[in-house]
Amino acid sequence: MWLRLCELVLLGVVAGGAGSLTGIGGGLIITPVLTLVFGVPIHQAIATSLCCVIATSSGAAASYIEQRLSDIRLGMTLELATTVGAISGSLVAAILSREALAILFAFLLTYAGATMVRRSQEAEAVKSGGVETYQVKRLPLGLCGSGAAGVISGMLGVGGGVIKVPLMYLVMGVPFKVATATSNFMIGVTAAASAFIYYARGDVRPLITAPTAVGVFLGAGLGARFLRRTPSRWLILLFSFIAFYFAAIMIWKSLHGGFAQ
Amino acid sequence: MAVLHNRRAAGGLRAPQTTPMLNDSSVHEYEDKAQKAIAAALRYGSSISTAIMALALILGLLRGGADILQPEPAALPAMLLRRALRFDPAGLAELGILLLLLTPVFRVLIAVLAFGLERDTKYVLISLGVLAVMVFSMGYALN
Repeated sequence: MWLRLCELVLLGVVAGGAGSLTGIGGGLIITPVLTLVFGVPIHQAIATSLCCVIATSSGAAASYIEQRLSDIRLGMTLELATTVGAISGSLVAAILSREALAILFAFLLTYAGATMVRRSQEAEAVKSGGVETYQVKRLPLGLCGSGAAGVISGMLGVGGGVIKVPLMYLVMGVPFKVATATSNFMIGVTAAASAFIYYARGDVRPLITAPTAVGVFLGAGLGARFLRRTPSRWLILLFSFIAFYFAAIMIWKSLHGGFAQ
Repeated sequence: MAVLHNRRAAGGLRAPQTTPMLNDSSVHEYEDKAQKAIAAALRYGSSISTAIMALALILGLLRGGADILQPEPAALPAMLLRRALRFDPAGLAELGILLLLLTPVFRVLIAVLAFGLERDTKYVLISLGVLAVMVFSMGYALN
């Protein structure tokens, strides 16, 4: 039991550090590792991941606000959609089987992995470019997209940055940095809205959640302090590779009844 | 609707230029305070709840194994608080998790107050809407 608690803290540290290093939320790492390595039922893994996502995003969101990068008005507006989506997503997850959830998660992992591969090729291009005056475009479309991001967040226990950042940047005309900061600003509220539903269903297990959340908090803090540089191309590629690998195993296990207990 | 978003990106909480009654400097003052308050809510909420969870883990381990962390199911918040005050590890862990989940709710509450101080009715209503959704979710959890 000692050992297992330490392992969970370690998982959190790695997920939190990797999250702040690559910009990909820890939720994408925690759920597959908990289900595949620790044998935790996927609903409990998703609930744990949601709590961890709140713990990691809060610190980063606070510093983005202090740097005035978050568009709080836009964030609050889109949160109307993400929270409703998140509650719906968590209610849908409750009636889905473990296999179905694992397959959906695998699709998300594949998409996130592909995003990382693309980003590894344009990592420098995105970095430049300051924050200038902008006008938010296509708000109704943005609200729909945010609702969808909320559903995915609540159903699969991730922050949903992989959807919200491109949505704001490419569709709504928000500068990339502001889109990243604003997406981060919304994560905590979105995750909490669905986490209460998981809590009510008894899927938030203190024995799993507490050590992982403590680890993630430490990892994110360490990552932000010591790994402030842009991650190397190879590291991003490595993480996308891990994402594809997890996705493949989750699909394979689902199709072969590996999650039935 | 999009016109209201036409503003400089640098000030996340900046009141629209048309806001009557407030001169520029007081708008800045409110805005600064509101941003600091929101950032502080996030930072303190997440660190305090994590510290409580860490304390629960350490106490659990010191008192002979993690089994002690196994919660009694469906404890009421008041009961939870009482157990946490007795430094019961399971109660502490659950309290830490609940505080973590409540941190974003506090953040929305502060935004409601901040927009209220700026007399920005539209965003008071939007924030209240978000708060209502979260209260619905919490109500579901209590049932």
